[in-house]
Amino acid sequence: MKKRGRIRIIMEVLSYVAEESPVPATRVAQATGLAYDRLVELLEELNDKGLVRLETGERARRVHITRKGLETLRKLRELKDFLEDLGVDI
Amino acid sequence: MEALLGLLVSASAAFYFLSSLSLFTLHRVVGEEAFLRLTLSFALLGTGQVLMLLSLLSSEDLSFALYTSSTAFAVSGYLSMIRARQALALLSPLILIPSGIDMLASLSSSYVSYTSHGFVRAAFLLLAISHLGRSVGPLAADLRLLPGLEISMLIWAEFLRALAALILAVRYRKLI
Repeated sequence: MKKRGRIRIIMEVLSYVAEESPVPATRVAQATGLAYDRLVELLEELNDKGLVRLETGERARRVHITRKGLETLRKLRELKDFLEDLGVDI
Repeated sequence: MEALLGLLVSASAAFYFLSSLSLFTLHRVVGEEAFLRLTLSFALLGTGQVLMLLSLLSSEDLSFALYTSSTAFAVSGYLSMIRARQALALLSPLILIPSGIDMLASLSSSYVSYTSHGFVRAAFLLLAISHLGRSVGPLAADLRLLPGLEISMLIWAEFLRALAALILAVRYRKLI
């Protein structure tokens, strides 16, 4: 199976969070097949960039999509064909 | 003819710059290196087209300098799209031979075409043909191989170059 690139992983995470928001981080990890630690690292990065909002509760981290996250997801989906045609690993 | 060419070159420059802006915005948000590389590539291709446009509008002496430098920017654009270092090492010495910069542009855009798919492949193949025309045109003029055809060959090469960008702009309009 071909290894997923970083852009594809970000797209998959944002897509899932966009559909299920707010969603526990553990469910995002299950749905995207990412190791929990790696996902949390990515979510913190996306949180810093304003694409998602991380809410740390008593028992679990919950992830919310933001407007900027939705816009970025739309743009990434629109660019997918172009990037694939250009031979960029996504 | 010149006005139409100017219009096409302007449109292609606009497409390259808008794409570059769009890719840079994504780079800032997602932080992916590939977006930054493509931002640079498209900005360089756009600058090449602006120089081409200025060469159409300038005096004869300045026009030649701008015409040549437009290829230099295009070459930089293609080379920054190539990720295989070995390919870069093989292509670079071509800059030393006569008409080498357009030959280098032709080969580097051929390489980008080879590693691409779909409309990107077709557009970069057109760019390769266009640069081949630009490199063979002056050579043919020097050797008097195609009397009277050299100028039209160069004009058609520029049409092809602008057309390639327009194909990309139509197919990937969501990019801008």
